[in-house]
Amino acid sequence: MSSTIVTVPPKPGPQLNKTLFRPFFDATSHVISTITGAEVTIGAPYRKKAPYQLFDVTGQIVFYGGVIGTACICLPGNTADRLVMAFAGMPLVRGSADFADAVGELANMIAGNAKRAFGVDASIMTPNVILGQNTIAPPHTVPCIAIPGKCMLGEFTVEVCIKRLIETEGGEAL
Amino acid sequence: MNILLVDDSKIMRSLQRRTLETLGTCNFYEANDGEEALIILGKATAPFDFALVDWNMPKMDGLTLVKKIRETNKVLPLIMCTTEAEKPRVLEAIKAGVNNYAIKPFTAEQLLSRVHQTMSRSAPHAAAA
Repeated sequence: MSSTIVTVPPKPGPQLNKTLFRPFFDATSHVISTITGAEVTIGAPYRKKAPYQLFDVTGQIVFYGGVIGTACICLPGNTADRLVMAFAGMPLVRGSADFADAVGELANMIAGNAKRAFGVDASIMTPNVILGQNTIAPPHTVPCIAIPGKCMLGEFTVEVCIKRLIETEGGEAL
Repeated sequence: MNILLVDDSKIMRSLQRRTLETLGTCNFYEANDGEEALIILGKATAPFDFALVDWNMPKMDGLTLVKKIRETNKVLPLIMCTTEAEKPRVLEAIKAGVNNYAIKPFTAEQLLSRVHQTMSRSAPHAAAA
């Protein structure tokens, strides 16, 4: 009796849909440059995968409706302090309610501006803010990319893990 | 001037207040959500000159608030200050009764421009009221 070896191809990861990710480039640049008055440089995006980079401050927005998932602005502590100061017009103590409020509003503005270009009705929830070395692990069913950026106040990363509720166009390479 | 600021972000209300203080002597009333705003409006003894209203807020969102206000008050100038910028959303807000729309983030100059625009359009109505 002969045996047959069956090779199971690796399960493909969730595909990226550039129509959902690209709006975050402009949205991030617009929001941070409006707040800081400084030029913002957006770097090449990459897939978020383990080992995950940890950040000191994370502002998260949840999408629901026609697009589901999350978008986060992830900041090293010093960058967060400076960005919040530029936004609020005064230094705020990291960990205070006002500091979290400001980071949440930054995340809200980036997500809100990005969803204008989705071409589908999507809604956002009020923001969550995580303080302390942390990250949000991407779900297996939703593609997640990290968009690095920098401005005169420091470096930051926007992590986007979203997909259409009903994927009508199929995945498309970023 | 009596100005109502409705936004669940205290920092945003603080920025708006700082910007609007340049208009002159202002009495600011602040609400964290639509429900608080309705309570403030219900207790008010003098009319408000205008209100800035956020869209996404806990308890009662800005669109619901605008609809509730318009049930009894057709003249209060309402400026929606939000990240909700899709055309259908803007049209929905206008249909509900907002007089103007400011998309976050905005500079102080942009906000003041929206306020001046709204006040000049609303002046005849305010006088009639």
